[in-house]
Amino acid sequence: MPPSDFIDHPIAVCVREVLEVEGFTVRSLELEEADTAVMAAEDDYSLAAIVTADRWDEVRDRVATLDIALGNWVSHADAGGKQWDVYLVCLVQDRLSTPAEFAEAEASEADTRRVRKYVRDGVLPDYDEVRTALSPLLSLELPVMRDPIRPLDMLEAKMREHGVTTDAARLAVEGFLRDALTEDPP
Amino acid sequence: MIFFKRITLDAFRGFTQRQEIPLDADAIVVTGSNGLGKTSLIDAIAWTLTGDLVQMAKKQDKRTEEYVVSQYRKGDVARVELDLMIDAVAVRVTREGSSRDGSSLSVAWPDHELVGSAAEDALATLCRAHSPGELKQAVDGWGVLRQDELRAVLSAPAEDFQARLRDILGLGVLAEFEQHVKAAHRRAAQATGDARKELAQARDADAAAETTLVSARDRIERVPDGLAGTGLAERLQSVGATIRLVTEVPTSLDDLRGLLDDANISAAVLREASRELRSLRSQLTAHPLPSDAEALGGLEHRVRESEGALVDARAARASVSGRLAQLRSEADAIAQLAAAALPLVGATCPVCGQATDPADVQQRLAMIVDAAGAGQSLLDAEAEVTTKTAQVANLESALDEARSAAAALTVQIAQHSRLVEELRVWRSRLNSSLDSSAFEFPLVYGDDDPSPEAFESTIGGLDVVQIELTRAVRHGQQRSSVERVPALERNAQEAQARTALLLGQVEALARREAEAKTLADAAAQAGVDVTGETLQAIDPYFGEVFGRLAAHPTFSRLGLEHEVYYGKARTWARITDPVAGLEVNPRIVCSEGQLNVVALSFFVAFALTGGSRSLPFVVLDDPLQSLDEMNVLGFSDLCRHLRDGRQLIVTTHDRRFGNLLLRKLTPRNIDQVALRVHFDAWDRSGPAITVSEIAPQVVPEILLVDG
Repeated sequence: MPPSDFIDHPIAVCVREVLEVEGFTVRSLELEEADTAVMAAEDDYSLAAIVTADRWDEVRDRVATLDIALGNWVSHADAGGKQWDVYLVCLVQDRLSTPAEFAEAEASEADTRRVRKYVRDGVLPDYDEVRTALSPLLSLELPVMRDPIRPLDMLEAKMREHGVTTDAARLAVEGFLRDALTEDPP
Repeated sequence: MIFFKRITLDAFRGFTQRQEIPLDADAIVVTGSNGLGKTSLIDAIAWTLTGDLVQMAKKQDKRTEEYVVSQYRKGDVARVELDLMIDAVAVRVTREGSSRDGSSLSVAWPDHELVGSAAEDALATLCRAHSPGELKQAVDGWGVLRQDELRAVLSAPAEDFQARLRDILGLGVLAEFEQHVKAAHRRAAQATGDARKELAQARDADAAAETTLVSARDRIERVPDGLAGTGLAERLQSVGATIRLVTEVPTSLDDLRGLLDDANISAAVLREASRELRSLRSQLTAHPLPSDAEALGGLEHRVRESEGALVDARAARASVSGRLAQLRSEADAIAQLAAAALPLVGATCPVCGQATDPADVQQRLAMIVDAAGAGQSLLDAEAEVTTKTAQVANLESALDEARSAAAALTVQIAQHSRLVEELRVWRSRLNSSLDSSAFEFPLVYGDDDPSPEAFESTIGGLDVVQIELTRAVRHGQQRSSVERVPALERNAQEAQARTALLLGQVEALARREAEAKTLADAAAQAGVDVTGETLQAIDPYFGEVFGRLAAHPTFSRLGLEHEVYYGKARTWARITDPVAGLEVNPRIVCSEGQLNVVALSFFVAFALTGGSRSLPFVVLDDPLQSLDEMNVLGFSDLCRHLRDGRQLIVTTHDRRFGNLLLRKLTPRNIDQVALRVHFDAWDRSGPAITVSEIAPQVVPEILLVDG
């Protein structure tokens, strides 16, 4: 396997962790045409190759090659419908700083002839930062909000914090729920 | 997840004729050019679930404009059947009606059917909402995306944005609760105010009762015993010469008051009658019956005699005048004859031929002429005519005099008679007025023509009676005070007790009002807190969605800014450039397309974070307005995730996006089903639709291999 800075970068460690937590299978993928190995992740719907670097200029010249290599690999892999969900994700730690860099990154993303490409800059080797950068690949499951919002329960608790007795708060909410508009709260 | 299995539309908006469209898939891509009925399909889903099409109501020029029933089926009702699959049970939801007359809903499943409000409640439960109102809120808020509606939310002023967010998140109940407790506080304040007014009135009544009681007690000390002690009967007897009481002397205060009223009325009647009598009598004095009234007959006889004598005198005068006229005629004839002879006189007589003295003859003829005009008979006749004429004049004068005297006497007698009649009427009226009086007035009744003095005397007596009765009434009142004292004491005690009771109530209500105010203040503050915390909790998900769409090169994060200012919460949408640390209003820095991505991000985040209120479907009606290619790609990726856990229906007029979606939503495993509903054309009968199932492309589980 050819050596690859893309796999050894500190961001890549976080990438693997995030993707594995999100249910992806993470492997090293050798792309012979690009003469490098990249980190690849796959789930039921998509396959992504993730390239990590300190700066954009370390990546930009190789994006086109990686794009071709990844596209060809998918074509040969008989990926079926998954071929429409193949991504090349470039995560660079430094920010894009010049108009030229912004233009290059944008041109790279806009080239959709082969695989879909994302360029995310300013990605720190931090779990949350990396998760945000990888969000287009991740499921939209939002378990935290699956619990029902019970505004009146929350309200009752908050009213107690604002000096209303437990009984008064409870009776007020109960009265409201009975829609007893003629009935005054205690 | 499949929620809608099939929809059947009839006379609904663009669907003039009945059409059935299968929806038996967890992802449905509705494609076709603009104007072919795609939005009508989405409207049918929203209308069936909510009974309303809010966005259409806003487009009416007139309130009577129909927007639910097909324009080609006016007069009919629209009907939409939605076949649902709930936990392997087939449920049919049917709504019928129009925008003008409203609609009715039925929900049916094997062996069961509900209609009306029971059906609405059941439908809400099937869609995971607590009530039909909440279902409507959810469907309009995040169940069916309408780009322009979402943009309207985003464009609303901060306070409205806050309110709309509250509604969308189901936190509208907080505002309702706040209004509820504020209304309760207002009622409590009103009740306290009313009670204070009532207390003030009670205190006044208490003081008045005390004053009345003291006054009554004071009177008691000054009042002799009993009405009997007043000697009223005796004193009334003392005026018996002019006045007689025809009833018993009353013993009750009310009867005394009645008698006093009677005396007052009688006195007024007598005074008026006396005044009228004086006037009548004065007029009678001025117009007495003439003492020579009997002479009227003689005068009338004299007139008749004078009239007879006058007739005779006039006849005699006429006779003499006639004779005079005859004499004058004869004299004239002689004179004319003599005058005619005069020229014939010559020196000889024409008859005998003897010589004549013409001068002498002429002289003698002239004398005949003169004698004819002044003959004795004529003079006598003239003198007789003069005498007769004087007699006629005398008789006429005497007749006029007699007639005048008779007329003057007749007038005097008539005036007197009228006054006598008026006196009779006065008497009759007086009798009638006093008829119901409890008093009799002998002086007044005893004489057909009572004198004013009799009236004076009677009125004087009545004055005495009034004074006596007034005294008796006053005395009676004082006696009544004695009798009322116990009742007044009770009244005073009750008033005192009522004041004390109301005082207690006012204090209790004031405490209640203070508690209600505390509650209202706390509810307002707590509402702000809950809204803030809820928005804070879902805030990351706006960014989660926005981040996938990569709308802006530097402002890559989307969230909400929540601020409480003087107890009122305000919320703004904000996008952030994390590198520059800038947080700005997206409406200021974003293009139309980017703003649409912002709106879309909010919508999707709401749809995903509705908690228990999450609908089992999400409908995106042409979501790509003004999106550029990269956003479209990002959104396509997003749609693939949106189908997880809910049925996804996306419409688009954009062929490329449609094809992209079809590829993205192609089933990847045997549990997934995707449909393409393509609107080919539209004519007056409705759209021509082709429905095709998207063939699954099952992929080897994992392509990557170790090593």
